[in-house]
Amino acid sequence: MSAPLHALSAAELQAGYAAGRFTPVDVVEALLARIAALDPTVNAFIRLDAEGAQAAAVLATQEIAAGGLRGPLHGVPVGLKDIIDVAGQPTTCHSKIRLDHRAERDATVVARLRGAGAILMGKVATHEFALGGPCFDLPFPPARNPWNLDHHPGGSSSGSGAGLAAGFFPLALGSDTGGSTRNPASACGVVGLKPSYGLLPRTGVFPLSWTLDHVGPMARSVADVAALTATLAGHDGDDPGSARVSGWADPVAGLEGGVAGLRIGYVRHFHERDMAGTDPEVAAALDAAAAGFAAMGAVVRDVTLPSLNDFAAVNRTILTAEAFAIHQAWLSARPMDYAGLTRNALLVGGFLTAADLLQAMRLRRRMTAAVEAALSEFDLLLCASSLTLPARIDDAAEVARTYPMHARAPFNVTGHPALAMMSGVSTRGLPTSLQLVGRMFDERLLLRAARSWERSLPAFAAPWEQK
Amino acid sequence: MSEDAGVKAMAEAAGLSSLWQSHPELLRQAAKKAAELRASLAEPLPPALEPDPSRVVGAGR
Repeated sequence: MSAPLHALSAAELQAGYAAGRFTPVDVVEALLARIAALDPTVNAFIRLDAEGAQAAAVLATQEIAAGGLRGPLHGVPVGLKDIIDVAGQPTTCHSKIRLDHRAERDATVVARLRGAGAILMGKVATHEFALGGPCFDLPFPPARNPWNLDHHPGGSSSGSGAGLAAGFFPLALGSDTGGSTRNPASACGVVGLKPSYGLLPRTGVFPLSWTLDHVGPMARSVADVAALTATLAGHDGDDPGSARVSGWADPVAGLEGGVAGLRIGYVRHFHERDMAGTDPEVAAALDAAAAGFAAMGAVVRDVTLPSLNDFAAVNRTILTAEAFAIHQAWLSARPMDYAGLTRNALLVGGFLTAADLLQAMRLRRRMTAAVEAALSEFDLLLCASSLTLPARIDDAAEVARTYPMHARAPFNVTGHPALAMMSGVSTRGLPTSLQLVGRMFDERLLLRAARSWERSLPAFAAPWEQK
Repeated sequence: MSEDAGVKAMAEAAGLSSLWQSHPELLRQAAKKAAELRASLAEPLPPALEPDPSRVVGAGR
């Protein structure tokens, strides 16, 4: 029996379109029915754009019938984190502060999605302004984890991860400043990429921290993340952080190249020594992944980077200082309109000094050099993503304890591309995760290794495959 | 200057005078967390030449 439409990847949808088995209209109607049935408990969507999606599906169906597929995203539904502008729609940032906002123009990534023929399904949940954690004192409820609705789905791109895992869309965009794309990817058992700093345009994406922010492509498969990244990559003259990269290699072409002969550095001290309390199942799955890459022909050896705690301190200092500068006027005029968690995190920035920020920036350069040195010896790095499993969403103390326990922030500090994906399924029925890190602007090799790991994963019962 | 006076002075410099009047405890907590964050940074680096940050992070890094 063939898989239901809501469980198909973008590549599988396009194969169906090309073969005439179904159309984008069929797919969007199936997804809207699933969202209507399940989202009242998942809470992935802030604003479902059913009419817009249906109109785009009709257009894509006509275009494909007339001229065939024009690219890997044509007729493919996408969910957007609600910090990303869509012309004429509010970008609420999941906040009371922004309920009256209306975007005048599409974000550059949205314009590129439209140009590729993708179907925008609507805006999905985030932690308020892409900061903090799940909150119950906001205008919209927090998204929940489709693997177990009692647990959080990670964040801040919470709706992107939850919507993918629930089977609401096959592609999504998140953002990543301290790990916010890779956290929901880890918690929800999907794939999330923080690309190289500057690769994807951020114009029209509400900022959290200018020097740490990235747009994050997400999907249920590595191939779909590769196609989404390839569609969105490219210089944007309106984004001062956008890089001009000559000769960037499209990652789609090399996906099946395997890992034989690659040198992979295993950063085991992140989860074994730097932070106490790593879940034993997470650690065991990482060791199994290192052994798995070796079995596939890679040369895996331990490597040492600066301490995870030092990376985290630098990330938090820069992020908090830059975020305060962005939010200062609202914090002054309407501080009680933020969720308590968000407000408390932002206010810390008012008490950092110029010397604190400059100290962090000086350390950042040295940390970047250390990772560059490691990546001159190794082709890729393997390390933890989340050090724990996702906590119950109603256990605020456990959420606060476990949320900082991750190894994602180092690569926001250094800018290197980093990808989080499943390493297995725990005995509690929640996914465990790993992280792969590549050289600057070498998304091709990073995604190739991720695809090799994906192929080696045993079959599992994913929530998006359930009726 | 007392610790509380220092927090008040920094709050005013940060444009948070009204919040200091209405919810001073929030700002005391924020100041405490900032001090913890400062302490968590590695030891201060010795004097050295440093590049312009905008030439290191961002376009063409």
